[in-house]
Amino acid sequence: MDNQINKDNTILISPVTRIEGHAKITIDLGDDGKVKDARFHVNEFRGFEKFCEGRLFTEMPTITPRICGICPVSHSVSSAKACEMIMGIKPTYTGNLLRRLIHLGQMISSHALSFFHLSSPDLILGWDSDPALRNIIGIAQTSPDLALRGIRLRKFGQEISERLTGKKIHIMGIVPGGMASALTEENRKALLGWIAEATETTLIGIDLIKKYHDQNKEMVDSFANFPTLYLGTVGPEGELELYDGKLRFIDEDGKILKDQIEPKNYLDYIAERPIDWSYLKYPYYKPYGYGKGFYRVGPLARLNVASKMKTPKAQKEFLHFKSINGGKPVHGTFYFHYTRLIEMLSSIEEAERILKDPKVVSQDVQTHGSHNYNEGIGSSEAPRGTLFHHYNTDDSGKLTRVNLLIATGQNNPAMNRSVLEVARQYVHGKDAKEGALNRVEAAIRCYDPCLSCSTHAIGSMPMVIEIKDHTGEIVNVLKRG
Amino acid sequence: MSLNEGNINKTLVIGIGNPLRSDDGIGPYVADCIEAQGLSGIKVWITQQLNVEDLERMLEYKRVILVDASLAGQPLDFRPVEKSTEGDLSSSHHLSAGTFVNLAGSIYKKNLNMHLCSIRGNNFEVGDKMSPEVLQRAQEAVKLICNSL
Repeated sequence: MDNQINKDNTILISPVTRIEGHAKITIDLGDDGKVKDARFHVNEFRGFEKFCEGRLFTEMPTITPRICGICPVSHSVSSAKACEMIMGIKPTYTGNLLRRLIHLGQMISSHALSFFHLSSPDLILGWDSDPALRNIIGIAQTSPDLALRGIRLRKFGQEISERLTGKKIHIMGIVPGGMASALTEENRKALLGWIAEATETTLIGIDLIKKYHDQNKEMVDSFANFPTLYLGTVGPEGELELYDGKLRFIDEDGKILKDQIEPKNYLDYIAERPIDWSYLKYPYYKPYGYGKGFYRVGPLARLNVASKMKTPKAQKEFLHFKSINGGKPVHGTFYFHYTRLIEMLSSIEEAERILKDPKVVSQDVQTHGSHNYNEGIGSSEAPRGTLFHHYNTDDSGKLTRVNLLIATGQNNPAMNRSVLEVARQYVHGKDAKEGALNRVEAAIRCYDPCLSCSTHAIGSMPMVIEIKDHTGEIVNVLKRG
Repeated sequence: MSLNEGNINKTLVIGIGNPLRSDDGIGPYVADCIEAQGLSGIKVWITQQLNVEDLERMLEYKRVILVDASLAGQPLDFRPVEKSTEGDLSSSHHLSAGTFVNLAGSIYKKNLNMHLCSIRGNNFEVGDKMSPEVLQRAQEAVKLICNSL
């Protein structure tokens, strides 16, 4: 980590580590040395939406998984759904079943990576431990069994993709109308063989985080704890839904603001505003307007929004989660980790159910159609939150406009607020210790942001950062790349 | 955990890179050339990125050879990978070869016999054509690797 204090009392943390992508944080100190402001800057820009224009809409389910190596399935699923709206078709029962399965696999692998590899070093090794070892290598040295379990849990999620599509990353095979190929009986049995180990590992993770909560209650409850609205996808009875459902917004007290919103109507409720210091826009709940309408998505939001879970083990943990704030939304950002683990448990249970459905190996995996409408919108719950793909086409089926509304983008206002809250709590003056800065980074890691997705970015582009004082004069210029 | 014992006497050649980013495709190109030689005891795998869970697969083999394009350094370099003693993992997208060797020992209690063949690229822009001098280096790399088997 290359941290520095600039002439104008700005502390720069760059790059932010153990997240997906590249970013920096600035912390502005006032004359009294107290934190005046803090910002999370995203420096990447890719323009994925723009270069898809002119392509045939049917290509999108195979192009968009390339946006991200962590959540390619969510992109492909949302894309296929948008295409199905354009074609006016629905997937077959088995096509939907297999898509659900591969989507759950991605949820498992992504959440396992986030918790066991990226965040557990802070919990197990300590916030102030040697940063050179505060990572998977440190976990491997101190808790090799946990490290191995984390690796294998991720491997299980990846193996679902591999056995369904032949690829672990940047999967192909999710197509408009369903799936391109069926699941073999051999692969069904092989995947079922993972369930017991995956469940056991997830329960170990849940036990770990709950013990951490008990031992660090004050820190956990005060860590970037602030009210926001929440958005998530639910089923008809308000149950957690990750693959296909309707949208629900709740307010900071848990009151349902709008329920069972068709994803295709998302623009009636969500608007975005660009900000001048980041490539990530600021989305907000339209009826409340900019500022008041900031909301969060992702595991914490989904469990705050949901009325219940679909599977028994996850439901038991869900009830415990709901008891944390007496049934009202839990606003503490640190609880993202716990909710991520509950979702992982739910995903493993649901994957087992699907694998035991006799129709999962049916050959009836795809319906077919052609270009019928000029607009399509698809959504799904990506590991980091609600994802929308919105396409417009001309009469030949070529894309004229693409809008991708990504989970990390929707969490952008909350990530900035989290950085500010944690900086105020732990950073006191210029001489902030590395451990304090690690806590500021950790506020971001709670959201498990994927900057490659949200900015549709590729690598880190050369960047010049100008730092201005209160008069607007540039007092420092930082160059990268 | 059960490893595939059938691979225990084989060498795994992993070509890493994106053939649509010009010289970044040199790793997969070299891997393809080695596969075309039809040598026994060789398994070739092409990928765009290595993840930590790939370690289990590597441990099935007697030896692993990574072939990847480099941005700087020697035009062609072929050497054993030393264990990385410090964490270089700032995100899941960046896992060094040395980290794999480290994790093999600390998690799996096994020695990972890994070599890295790095070929310096000139152009990493979008495109499927590789630079002539990089293709030349690739042929030298194929010879080097095959002679080492």
